Amino acid sequence: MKNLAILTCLILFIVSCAPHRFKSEFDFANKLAQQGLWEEAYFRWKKSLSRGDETAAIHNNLAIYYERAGNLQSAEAEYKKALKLDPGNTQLLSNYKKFKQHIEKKKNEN
Amino acid sequence: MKTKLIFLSVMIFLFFSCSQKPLIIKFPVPVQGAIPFNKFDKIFIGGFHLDTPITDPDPETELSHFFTTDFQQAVKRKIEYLPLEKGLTDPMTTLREKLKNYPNSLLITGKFTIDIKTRSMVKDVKNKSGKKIKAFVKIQLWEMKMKVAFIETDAFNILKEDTFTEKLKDADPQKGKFNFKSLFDSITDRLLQKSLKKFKIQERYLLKNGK
Repeated sequence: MKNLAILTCLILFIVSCAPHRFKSEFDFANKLAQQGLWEEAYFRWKKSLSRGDETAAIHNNLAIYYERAGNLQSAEAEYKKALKLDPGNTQLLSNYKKFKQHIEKKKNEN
Repeated sequence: MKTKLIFLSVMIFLFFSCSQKPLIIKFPVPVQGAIPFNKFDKIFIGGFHLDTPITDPDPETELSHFFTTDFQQAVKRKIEYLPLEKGLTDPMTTLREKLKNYPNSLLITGKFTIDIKTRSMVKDVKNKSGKKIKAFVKIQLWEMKMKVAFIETDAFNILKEDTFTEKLKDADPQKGKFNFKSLFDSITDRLLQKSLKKFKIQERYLLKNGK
């Protein structure tokens, strides 16, 4: 009986960890960006935003999209919006720091 | 007790193996100042100002050979030699007038200097019978400097300017050609690497919702 309970727990744990379908448009957009389909990802992040799902994650990812496209002004604006929503996020802070370094280097090259 | 321990170990293992890794994304960004070689109708090299005590090998021949062979091959554009008197040190107005004859072109020019300092030092050398003895020998310190400028002929605008310096300590004065070549190869190699670099890889975290 005890072994059966342990086995059930294990199965439940494994099933919850198994790869799942994308929970939202947002997760799907992330996957698209990872595969290099940035325009498609951008469209979906924007769609999530227009639905009112304003999170630091969306603004951060949009900032990366703009940075990649060379639109540094929009990238900075998005990073700032993200930091306002989640100022303590270490990954976000790391991204913003790298972005600032990148801009600084560009200025020096000019 | 044993079962509980195994169960706990399995749970810990599964927890760590299932924990989600951050989504790191890499993307290239254009390097500022990369020269758009394909934009120009013609590319010329010429007018390098030379300040060097070396005549063999001839620095001018070596420079034009490098740009019209190795550099040309690397940038995949034909580079022609343009006889100009002094390049960067030519009075700018004269050079500007000359370049008007070559519209929508790029001129690669610059300054090339070699400085050689000779001194004596005590060194272990072999005498005629093969025995090691201490003797005064002459050694040289070579310093090669190449300033390269890429000039747009139409606007007479310097697109990019780089200076490369290489030094060779304790050089043998008898091996002038070897000393020249080793420094020249290092400098031109660095110039090639820098001129061809068009993109830099940036790394960022993609965030998941709720993170």
